Amino acid sequence: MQCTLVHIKINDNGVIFDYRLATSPFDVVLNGATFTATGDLLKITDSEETNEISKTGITVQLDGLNQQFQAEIDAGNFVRAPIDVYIVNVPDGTNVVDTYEFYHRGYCDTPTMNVDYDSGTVSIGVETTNVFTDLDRIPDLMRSSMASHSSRHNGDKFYEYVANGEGEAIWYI
Amino acid sequence: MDFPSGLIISNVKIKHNIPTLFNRALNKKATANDRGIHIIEGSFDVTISSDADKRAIEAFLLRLRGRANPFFLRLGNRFTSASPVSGAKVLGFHTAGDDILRLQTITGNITNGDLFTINNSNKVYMALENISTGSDFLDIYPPLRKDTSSETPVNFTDVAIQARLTSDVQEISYNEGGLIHVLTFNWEEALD
Repeated sequence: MQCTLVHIKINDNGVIFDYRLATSPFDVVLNGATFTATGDLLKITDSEETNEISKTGITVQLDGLNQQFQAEIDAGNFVRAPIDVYIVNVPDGTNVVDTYEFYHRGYCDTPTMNVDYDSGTVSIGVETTNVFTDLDRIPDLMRSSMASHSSRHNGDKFYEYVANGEGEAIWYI
Repeated sequence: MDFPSGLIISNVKIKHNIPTLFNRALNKKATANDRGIHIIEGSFDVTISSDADKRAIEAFLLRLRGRANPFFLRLGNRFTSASPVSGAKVLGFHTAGDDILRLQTITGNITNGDLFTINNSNKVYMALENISTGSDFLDIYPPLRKDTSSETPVNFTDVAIQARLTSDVQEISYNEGGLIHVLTFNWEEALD
């Protein structure tokens, strides 16, 4: 049997809570951890892999009728939460995974709530960025500017004639 | 809640939906993978002539509230074991995913294709071989959806399907000048 497992590690003011969800019809065990077969995983979008290191992520749709997820959104606990998505194989007659691969590893962004009264569905879309997202940030103290350099090496005018650019520091909660 | 009894049901159709992952290559060779999921779907018509039953069936629809609430459907015949089976219980602890059920204290014969339910779940399972009185191992499908402890009763008699309507819109046809009401119920198993 093949199925997909999703692991989101929520940090609620220092208290770690692991959401482990499975698309299988019964609970599945991977490396000693139990992934529950609740009906909360609605959809997982395609994963894009490129040769270029990028922030490309996926979107995981969770059951919006489950009020537990809504509470996590209200508390801001999804943002920057690590997420792992596995594709696993479970042999017949057992619920223990024997082989698995990573489908996606990354961090969650701010979730969005989608309520569609026409189709009668309520879902929470959790967009993710992959683990390389941090490489996109420009380190704040390492800019090639006169100001940054002088603050570390007082009096050194090496970067005096370099055009100052605006740094891009991304702030997260 | 139970489907109202005493109504004439006709044109019954049952489907076994077993989703798989399936790819066919350009050279027509195929690879397939099971997902361990089995869901019974079906439809039937209800034809009603008595005034009381006409009202009762619409009241039942409003209790169901479209797809919101499941109901128990007893179709008898095919959904009762081929020969009477009583007293069946699980022998030993079984983990979720087990596709062999060890049974104890069976009185009667279990026939290949008999449907049954286990007391810890509403899922309808199927026996995939013949076994007779006593204690034995039984091949089943789908695999157990939950951990099942020893002594849990197993029911082969008058198996009830926990079903859910597949649409929020239910139509009633007023035939013969309104004397006969006909409804078609499209349902699927409500998996827990």
